[in-house]
Amino acid sequence: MTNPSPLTTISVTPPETAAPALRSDDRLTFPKMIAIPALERRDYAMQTWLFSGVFWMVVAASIGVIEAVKLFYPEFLQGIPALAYGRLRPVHVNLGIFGFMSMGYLGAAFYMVPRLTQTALYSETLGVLTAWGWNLNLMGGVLAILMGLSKGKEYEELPFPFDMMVGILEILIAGNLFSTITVRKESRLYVSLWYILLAIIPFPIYYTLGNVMNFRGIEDAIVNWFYSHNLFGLWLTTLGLATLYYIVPKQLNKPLYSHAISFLGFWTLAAFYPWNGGHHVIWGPVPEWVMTASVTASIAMLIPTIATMVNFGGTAWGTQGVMKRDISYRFSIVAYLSYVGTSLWGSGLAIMDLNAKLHFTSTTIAHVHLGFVGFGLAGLAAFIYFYLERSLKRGYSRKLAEWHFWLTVGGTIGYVVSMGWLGWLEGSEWASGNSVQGVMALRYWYNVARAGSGGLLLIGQLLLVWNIWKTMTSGPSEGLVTGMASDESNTLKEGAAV
Amino acid sequence: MMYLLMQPMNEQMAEKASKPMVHGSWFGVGDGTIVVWSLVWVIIPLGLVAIGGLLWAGKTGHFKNIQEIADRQLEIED
Repeated sequence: MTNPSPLTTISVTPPETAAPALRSDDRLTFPKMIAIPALERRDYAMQTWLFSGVFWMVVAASIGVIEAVKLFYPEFLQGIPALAYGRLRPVHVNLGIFGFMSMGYLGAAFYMVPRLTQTALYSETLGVLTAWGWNLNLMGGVLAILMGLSKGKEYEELPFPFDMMVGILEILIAGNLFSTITVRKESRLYVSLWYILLAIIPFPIYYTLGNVMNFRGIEDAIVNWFYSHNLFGLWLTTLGLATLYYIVPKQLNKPLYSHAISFLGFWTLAAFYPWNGGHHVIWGPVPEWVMTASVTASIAMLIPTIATMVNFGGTAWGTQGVMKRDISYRFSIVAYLSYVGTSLWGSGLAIMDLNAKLHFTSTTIAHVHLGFVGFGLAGLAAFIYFYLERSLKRGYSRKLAEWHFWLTVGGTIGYVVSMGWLGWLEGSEWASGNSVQGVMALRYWYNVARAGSGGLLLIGQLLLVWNIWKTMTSGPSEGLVTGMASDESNTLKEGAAV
Repeated sequence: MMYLLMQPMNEQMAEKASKPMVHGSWFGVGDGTIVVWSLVWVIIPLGLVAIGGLLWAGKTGHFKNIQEIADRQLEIED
């Protein structure tokens, strides 16, 4: 150990009673100058980011269900231009990426960074202001898309100036988190911090390349996918993994199986992910080396996937008892399994023969939703329950959380299986010479199942929102014991907060 | 107003589409260079930062007793 710092701890108090309590040596001079006292509450920034993410998650899921209904009942909400499928789809996608996932997991990052560095956030004020700026900008961008103002390129639909504002705000967010890490009191960096750094540092590079620059023809498509896949791989995946790496050892009260393996996973992910975007355009009119490089990198992604699988698997080995009683941990396991499934599936889809059959089918939709819902949503739910009980020391309703869990699991399985199987059938039909129109009738009941599964997911998330609301508006639970994994008797009381 | 705001992008794309281009070359302006451009300016610098980071981490002892970092994480209070 290079610096055996004393085991100072951060004591977290509920927001309404929290005092600024910042030591003068916690901050550089500049953030103090821009500090707004009303915003200088510990964890205020993380709460703003986290709960904004939850809000957008519900909005994105609602729009997703409307879209799904339109796929088998096109007359639904017909005649309203703003609610046409072609406008709702990019809104759903952009809210999923920049609303739910980005904001929710940035909330988790704003939680983890001060704790892992043992240093107060560089600027709570900046954190809160950037969160509201992000919210307003996203709302403006979404309204513009609903009005028909879209850049028309996948994952780049947000029009000017809303697209540029995302980049500017991200630089401010990165500056806030990076500065906190720079002035940290804990010298050694836990793996979650590495993943957060990988998320925040390269973002402006590929985001600018994807959104501000315009190229022609296939070049634009290649750059588009370079940007888009890094958005998933270097932004959302890293923030999600950082969160799981933080909460899982704490949920189990045992250290990560191997910090060394986590570094292997981190560095191989950082090395191979940026090359993956090209696998979206294989079999297209792109230079052959682009295809070769992207397929090779996609297969090489097996290394970080297996490293993560071994590490979380080793940590979670023999913890069935914890899984039964800790819903937060159960969500973590769902997120972990979905991450592994999505990653292996992604590597498989890059195999050229398989890609030829499945790329344009519903299999891709299943793959994306296993990542966004199975990994992203379950991981965020795990963090939210973890935060409520561990940090705020509040007991949420166990009953609602159980319903939330099973609706989420049921909805995810229903969605992924229905779309995955439909995709296989579509690919087989097209390979045997059938046309796109020829399989439309085949799709009907699968699309009904898709909407039904989406409905289950939406109901589950509404229960989460209700549970959070009731928990946050009730006082801290008296005598609530946390650290569930470390104590057999430690189970949340049924309906503790509701 | 929004249409006016998007006008620079449309003009930029129209201007680029007005010139003939050949794809497939690794070098040379405007003939697939952009693929290499992103490689040079994004991936390789990231790789160099990664290699530099690893060397720095190794030199400053970050890989020594690495498991202690995982043990320490558990001690941090939430």
